[in-house]
Amino acid sequence: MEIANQQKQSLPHTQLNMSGGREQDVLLKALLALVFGPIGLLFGSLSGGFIMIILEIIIAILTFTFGTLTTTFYGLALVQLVCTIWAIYATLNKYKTVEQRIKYRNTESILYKTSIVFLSFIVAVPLIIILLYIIRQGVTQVNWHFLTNVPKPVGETGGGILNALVGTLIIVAISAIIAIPVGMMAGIYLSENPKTRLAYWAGLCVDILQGVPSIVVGIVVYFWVVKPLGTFSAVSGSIALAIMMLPIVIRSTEETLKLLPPSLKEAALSLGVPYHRVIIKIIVPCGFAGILSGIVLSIARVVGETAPLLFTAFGNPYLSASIVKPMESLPHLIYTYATSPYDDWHDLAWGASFLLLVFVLVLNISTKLITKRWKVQL
Amino acid sequence: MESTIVSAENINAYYGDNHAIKNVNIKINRNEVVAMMGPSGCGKTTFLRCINRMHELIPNARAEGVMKLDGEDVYKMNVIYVRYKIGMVFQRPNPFPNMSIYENVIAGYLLNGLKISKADKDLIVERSLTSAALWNEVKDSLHKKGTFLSGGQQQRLCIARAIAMQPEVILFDEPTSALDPISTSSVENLFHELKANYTLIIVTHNMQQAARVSDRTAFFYLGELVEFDDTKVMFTNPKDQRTQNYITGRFS
Amino acid sequence: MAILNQQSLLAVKKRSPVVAVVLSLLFGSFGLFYASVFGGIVMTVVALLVGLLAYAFGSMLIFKIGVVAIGISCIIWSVIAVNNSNKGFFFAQFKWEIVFRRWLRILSAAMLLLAIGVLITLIINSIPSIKSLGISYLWGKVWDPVQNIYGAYPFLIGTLLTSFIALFISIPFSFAIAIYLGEYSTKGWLSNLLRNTVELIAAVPSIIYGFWGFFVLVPIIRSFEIKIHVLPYGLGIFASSLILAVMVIPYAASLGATLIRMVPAALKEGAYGLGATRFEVIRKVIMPYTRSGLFAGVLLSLGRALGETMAVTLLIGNTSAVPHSIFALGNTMASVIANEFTEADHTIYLSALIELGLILFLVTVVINYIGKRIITRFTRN
Repeated sequence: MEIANQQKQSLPHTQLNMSGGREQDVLLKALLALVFGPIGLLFGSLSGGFIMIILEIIIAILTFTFGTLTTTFYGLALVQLVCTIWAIYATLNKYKTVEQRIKYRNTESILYKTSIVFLSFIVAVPLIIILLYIIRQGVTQVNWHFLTNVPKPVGETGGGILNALVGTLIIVAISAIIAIPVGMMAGIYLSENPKTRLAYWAGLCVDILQGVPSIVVGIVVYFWVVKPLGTFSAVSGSIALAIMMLPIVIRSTEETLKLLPPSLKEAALSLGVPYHRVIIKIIVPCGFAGILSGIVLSIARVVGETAPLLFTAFGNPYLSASIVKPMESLPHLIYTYATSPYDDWHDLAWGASFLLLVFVLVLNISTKLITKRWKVQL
Repeated sequence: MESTIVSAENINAYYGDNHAIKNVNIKINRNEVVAMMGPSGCGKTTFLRCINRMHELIPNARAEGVMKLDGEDVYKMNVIYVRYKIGMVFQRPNPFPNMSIYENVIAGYLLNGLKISKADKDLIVERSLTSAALWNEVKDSLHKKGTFLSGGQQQRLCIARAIAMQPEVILFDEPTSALDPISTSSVENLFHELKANYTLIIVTHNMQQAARVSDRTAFFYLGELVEFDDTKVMFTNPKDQRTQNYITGRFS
Repeated sequence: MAILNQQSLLAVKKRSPVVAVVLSLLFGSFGLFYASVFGGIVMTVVALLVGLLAYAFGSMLIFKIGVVAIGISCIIWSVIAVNNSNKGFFFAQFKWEIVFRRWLRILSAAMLLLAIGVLITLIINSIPSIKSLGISYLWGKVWDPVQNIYGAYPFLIGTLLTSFIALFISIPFSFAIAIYLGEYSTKGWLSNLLRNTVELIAAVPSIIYGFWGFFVLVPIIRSFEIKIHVLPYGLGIFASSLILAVMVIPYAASLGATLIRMVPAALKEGAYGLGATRFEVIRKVIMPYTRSGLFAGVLLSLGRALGETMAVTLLIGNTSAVPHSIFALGNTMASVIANEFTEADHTIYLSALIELGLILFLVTVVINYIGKRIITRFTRN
């Protein structure tokens, strides 16, 4: 029994039994931690190193912002010291008995979990700060007047964002009209014929399109639509957004339909139902929840896109419903007014940001509800 | 009155380079129950799919030869019409999950966009479900989703769905292999009743089932049709050594 | 037991092709309703769209061409439709099936054309700049449109700096989320909360991040810069990187969580069976197993960071000089395009900007492609 224990103990760290290495090891790890701080501690104790890196960053930011350089110095010196002690402790622990080592390993595991949980949930902090700030700044702006008026010229107070609201709705609606049928059809093809050469290349191109930076889409549509028409136009903005929607619609359609059992299609075909009716009346309705949530998600993704609209739909301080003239949109309005020097306009931009945020949130939440409610039980 | 309804002449089928069906000739008469048995991978399901051209759904699969339905070459006919005339029931019950029981039965009409009156619909649903021995169990819940039924009930719903189209022939691809014994016997009992109006071709790997339900039995082995004879003759006095080996359980 | 007469059900009304042609000739898309209801609807919609377009442009020419084109297509459609439907129910269905399959193929092929079209458009329009500036464009340190000198180096450096700093800041967080959602807590309200939070971070439009950063983050950074005695712009590489870091967390995190969840349970159980702690299982089993997948997630994050435009444009300060520290102002490829594209008043200037777009496109495509390949290989195993 005892021999077995000794063997177990010696397995993970074979240098452990070389008693001469022990002092050297402790000294080396301590020195590393003393010189390089948390980074050096990583060699002695991985989880310790991670925790201390975060601690150091937090202390540095806090003391920088609220204290003086001296406090920062002391703070970092303290961190260095703690690191050294931790390194010595951790290294010494490696040479403890089996029971002690098990205890140490358990503590290590718990500490690691704590740091993971801490790191994961800390990302909520910036999000909450941003959301709360936008809501605080924006919600006071939004009222009936704000929603039903166009922006006033500089110097006059009041005014609203009706033009941007209408513009966003029109632009996004047209892009959805373009992207949804095309995307669904291409997605159906990809899921139905996954082995063909066309499907391989089309799939690759969908991946490429998904990765194209939005600003590049703007440039391309500028040359495809704006230049031939000779004017910025809402329809060019819609085409740019449609290009950004397509990959999402295609992929969500494809992924949803791939999950459906092939027996469904066989059953329908064996009844003498032509292929197109099988797809339209069986396959698409069974995957309806997934496809619809993909579509809503793609709309949520493009409703806040600004970059592709800069050189396509451009912007327009007046209310316009003509799709071949420049048209304002919420994100573009935020961009122009945020970079303007006038406080009134900043207020409009905060209000518009709030509205945009509400749109995006509602769309995202509805995708969840769609998948939950309308899922066809297979 | 022994008239041929399905006849296969020199049927060969391939998956890519794999020769799955080798020169099969068979004549199936009207209103009889034919069982096709053989070890798994012997091509019986492939042959079944070649009858109503379902093999075309499998990439790389192709069939050669002449398959006749009522004297007309299936491979030269409109594929939709072929499947309209030859119904099929699959291994696993597959009712349409987005439709109610009622809609499932008349799915073939609904999906084809054929306009039928409410009275006709009700009539079709009742007759088909009655023929499939399901009417009494589901008549009070016709508008529930078909997927809520038990496995055996679902399979009988699929049979009702096929019957509703009034096909000439119904193909069964191991229809009971996913069912429990009680459901299996209820489906088997059905075969005897359906025989009066339809021609049934049943693929099974279960010899007892073939013996119980069929008038004639075809034995497939390694893509060949080894023997095709009256079921009684086949099981009591097989002519081919391979058939005898299979029946006596020398290989499975 | 014939339940109902199939013959009458499947029978089709014979229609006269002559009547169909005459009707479409006289009434256009409305006349087409005689031959095919679907065709009538489609052509009516098309006619409305063309009319709208002609009205919007105020162009009589578009109107005339549209009328003629629609008229001809209505006549052709009516002849084909009548012919098909006269050949019986199944024949018409069969024709539809073929048309449907063809459209599926056409629209998939359109994706190919779209991607190739993007590439070709970018290449063609950057030819003037490639011709006159050559390869030295890439390391030219000066960008001065007034003097007609164009060097992309400051933007390349700006892009790389912001993206990689953002990546380094975001990696601990995204990996932590991936490990938490993939291993520690795959179900339950807490992980749902975290998952939704991460999705929300990805959902907030980049312009809102930029706007918020511009008014809230920049002043904080400015006071921070005063403390450490650098020029207190507030804006610059550092501010952009911070916001970018938040924005790219979701990409690596959600992919990482998915892949970690795919680690076979048998592997983990084997390690637990040998007495490993959870930490050791994560480090010695999960991490090595998912290493390539996590790397792919980082690549996807990088692709996002490189192409991100609006938040960076608002925060980076838009100076076309080579940034000399992380607190300096700068410009990224995307932000310089966003700022100067509409102002570019001569060919070379515009073309130089498009060449930036081309570089950005190629780099992100390559990065995304590698990432996707790694993921497919990972998920296939």
